[in-house]
Amino acid sequence: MHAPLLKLDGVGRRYGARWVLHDLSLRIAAGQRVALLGESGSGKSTLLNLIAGLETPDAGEIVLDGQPVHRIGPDAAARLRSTRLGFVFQAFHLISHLNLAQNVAVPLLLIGMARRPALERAGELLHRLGLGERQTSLPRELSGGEQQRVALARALVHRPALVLADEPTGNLDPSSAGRAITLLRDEIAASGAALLMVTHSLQAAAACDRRLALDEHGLRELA
Amino acid sequence: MPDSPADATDLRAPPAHVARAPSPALIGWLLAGQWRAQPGRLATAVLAIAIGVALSLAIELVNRSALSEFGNALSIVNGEAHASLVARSNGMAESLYDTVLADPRITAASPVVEGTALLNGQSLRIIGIDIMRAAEVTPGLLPQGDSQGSASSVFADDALYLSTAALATWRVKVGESVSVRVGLGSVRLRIAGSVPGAAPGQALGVMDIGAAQWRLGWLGRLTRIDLRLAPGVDPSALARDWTARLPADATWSTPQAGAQRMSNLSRAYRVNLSVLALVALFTGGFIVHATIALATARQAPTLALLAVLGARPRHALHSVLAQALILGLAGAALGVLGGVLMAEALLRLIGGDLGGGYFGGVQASLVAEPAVLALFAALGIATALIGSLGPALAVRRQSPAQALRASIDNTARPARRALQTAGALAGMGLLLTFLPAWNGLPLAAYGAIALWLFAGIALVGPITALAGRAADALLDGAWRHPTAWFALQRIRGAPQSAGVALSGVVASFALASAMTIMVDSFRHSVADWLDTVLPADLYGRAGSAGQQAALTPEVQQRLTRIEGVAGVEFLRSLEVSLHPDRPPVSLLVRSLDPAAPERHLPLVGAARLPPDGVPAAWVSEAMVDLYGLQIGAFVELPIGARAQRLQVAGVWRDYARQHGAVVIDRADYLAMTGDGSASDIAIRLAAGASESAVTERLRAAVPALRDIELRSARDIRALSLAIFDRSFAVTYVLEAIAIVVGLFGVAATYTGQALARAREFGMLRHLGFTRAQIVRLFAIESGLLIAVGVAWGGALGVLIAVVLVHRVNPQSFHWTMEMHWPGPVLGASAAALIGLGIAAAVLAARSAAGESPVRAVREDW
Repeated sequence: MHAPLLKLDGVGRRYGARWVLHDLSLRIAAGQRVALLGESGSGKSTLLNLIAGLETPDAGEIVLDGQPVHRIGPDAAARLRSTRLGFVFQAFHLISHLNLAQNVAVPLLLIGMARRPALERAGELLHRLGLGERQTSLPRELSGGEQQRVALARALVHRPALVLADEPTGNLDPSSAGRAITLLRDEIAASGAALLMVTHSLQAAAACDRRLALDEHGLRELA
Repeated sequence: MPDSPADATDLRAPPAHVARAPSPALIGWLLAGQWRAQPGRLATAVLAIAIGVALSLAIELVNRSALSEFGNALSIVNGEAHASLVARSNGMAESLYDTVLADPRITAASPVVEGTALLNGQSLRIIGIDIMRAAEVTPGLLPQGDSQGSASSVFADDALYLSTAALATWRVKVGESVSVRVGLGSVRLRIAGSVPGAAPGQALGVMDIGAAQWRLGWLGRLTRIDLRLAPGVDPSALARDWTARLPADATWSTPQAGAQRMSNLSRAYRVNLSVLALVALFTGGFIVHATIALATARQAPTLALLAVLGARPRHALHSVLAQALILGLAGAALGVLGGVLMAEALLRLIGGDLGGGYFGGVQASLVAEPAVLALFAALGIATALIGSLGPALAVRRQSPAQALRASIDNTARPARRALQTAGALAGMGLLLTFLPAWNGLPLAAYGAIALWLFAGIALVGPITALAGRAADALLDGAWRHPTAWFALQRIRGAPQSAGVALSGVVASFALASAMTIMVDSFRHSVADWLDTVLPADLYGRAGSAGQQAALTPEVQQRLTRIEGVAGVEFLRSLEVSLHPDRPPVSLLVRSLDPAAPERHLPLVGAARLPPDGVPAAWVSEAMVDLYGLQIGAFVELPIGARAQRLQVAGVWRDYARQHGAVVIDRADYLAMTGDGSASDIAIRLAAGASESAVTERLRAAVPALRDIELRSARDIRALSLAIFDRSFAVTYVLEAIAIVVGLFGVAATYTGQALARAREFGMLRHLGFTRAQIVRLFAIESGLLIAVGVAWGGALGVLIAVVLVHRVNPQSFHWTMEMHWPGPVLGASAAALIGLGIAAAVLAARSAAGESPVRAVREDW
């Protein structure tokens, strides 16, 4: 049997005296799509930060793709994020003064790829997502749904093993949200990456293979 | 799967490679975006660095050029001598020359006598040399006769050879005969040729030494003997040997000591001017700080996003520092260019001493060594990098996950930590104020000023918050006026961002007000001092004719009997060398009343007369600093042919001679030397007597006095203060530039803040604010903040002024002064700064509030 792509064992995180996350354990296999549901303040975003190495757990172990995220330094965590993780945010976080192709190429440039092949690959991906004709547009010229498509392209362009999505449809209207979820599911499936998506949307959760709920008692698998 | 040509994209293929560093293209994109977003502010920061580099480089180049030219002139006079025997005071016995010739370790010796002669009101330095000996030691002084002159004319007792500059100074031509004034006597000389080896601008005359001794009043005396040593002779051993057996009126000196003496003459002035020039660069550093802080606040989401996507923590740091480096490089390049041009202009228009009066008779040409240019360029780049370090470290410290949600407040620092930092800096600064000068320079005191300034700037945030709370409490009813209420709340709520804007204002106003207080204190002290040292009505300087001063006892007797003269005081002024490396000390011989010395001297502290039989020396403050001569100490002065032992009876303030002066009583001097001549006169007029009538009677009684300028105390006082103002003109200009640079900072910062707050302004317009109200709000807020900054800068300026007055000045120039507060000037400067700051803020707010309120808040929909 293959080792899981992501493995959390007894993970805890506290702010001051308050434990936000306590004794969490989780396994995600390669290519698996997992939705994480929970109320605001339940620690969903904190969990994503811990997996990404942006915060350090106060207890437990996190292993991503064989690497112990819980005890690697900031530089190694940055390298892990740049090569093995992709991110999709609720607020898109596109860089306002870069055009779409440049925005998508950012992760490739971060790992040292030369500009021309990086832009070519970004362009190919934008074509695939239906934005091939707008590569030189600036983010402010796009609708929210289009911006989220660019953000998805940026999350996939460097072929990550795991995409972390934090409320990816939170800023979209129901129609755009539906299209974004379909695209997210399909493109992640095409890329072979796993997905861990924090969401309040049952529609988004339904597009995933597994659904987990996070509350003060920990993680629960939903049907 | 989408059916498009891009279907071939293989999302599963791994990246080709993973490098350790991001592609340069990414950095280029990010920087280009930043520059496009705020070109005006970045240009201002570049300009601020450029001005700072240009000013400090220009001052340095002018100083170096002047010193280099002065050094060239000195080397022409000193020639290729390995060492010299120099008269310590009023010449040395000629017999010493024979002793020198007898020493086999010395291969060549060239005797020299130096005096002055006056023509057309212009005094000229005349050097008497032995032509045959000088050819070996000082070839630069060899004269060249006119085409009609025979070889023997060089030795003629009336032949005088003038350098090109001297011919111009005296407005004479080769071949002319002139009657020059030496003391009160007249000497007829023939301009027999030129001195082709003299440096450009070096005004001097050369005569045969025998003729010079006779004509200039130095019979039997020499002022210097230049020496060349035999190969293999140890100069140090020879110096020790000769020093042990030299008579009291001579001392051993080396060319290095001469150069050091020359450098010491103006060093404190040069260093202080350089430090003042660096103030603009220092202020420029704060502008870079404000610009980079605003830029990083703007870039915070991007930098945080990159960190989340996998950029290493140091990437954000490098990105911010790279921006500062580009600013620094551009500013340094412009500054170096501007500095060279400015130095060239200053040398041409003001002269090598920048009004300080140290390098008379020398026309310096620009000396710009590449190493110096590189040093000042590096200083500009370092300033930009240091200015950006705070924002860069703040960005690095920030958690990327948090920064993605809220922009970075890159100056955020808890008030307690600011207080601790400020306390530590101020404490260290206080300790430095107790340290003495280092190598004659007040470096510790400057260090204290820098630390206090940084401490004050660290406190800008808490001070602003305090001011906001105080204003809020005082203006309890401000909520009825929405614009005022919003402005006060903003000041209360955002003291850290306010601190960024105010740092440059605080720094520039603190330093400029400190300099203003110091210069004003100095000027008032000089004015008070002039009142004390100029008690008489008319003053005149007759000078000397060789070893004898011009006014013989017989002439003095005649002067006292003139109608309308109530009293005449005679003074003899000489120079004595107490240390070969230091400029000579002035020895002033005058009548003193031991019972009331303060009537003649501006004493500092109480006097203590020596016991009977021990002559008293009244020393200036510089003598205490430079030679350790406290009251009661004994000092040996080369007076006459012997070293005379005197005891220090009192210390007096002297703003005229920063290298030291000693006053002794005429009766003591007469007893030591038998010389009753005087070089200066101070005349008290009888009641009702007019200055002009008495002057005419004096000149009728002693016709030689016609060439001597007699000035009233009033004229001398006015002239002295005019010279003072001229000396400090450069400092006024440098101060003004520092203020202008500070204003640049205010304008740039408020433009940036107004743009950064466009969304806030848009929201306020949605809530019902008019554009005019928003502009008013920003103007009130900016005006209050600048007023706080100016008030705090002024308070810091007072502290810094105390250090300048009580530490920097005494350690640099060896004189003390009383504090004086130029309230109106400081008030007007503060009002101008606040007014201009508000104007800049209004312009910035008008532009930012002009954006469509819908577009301004678009990202929030």
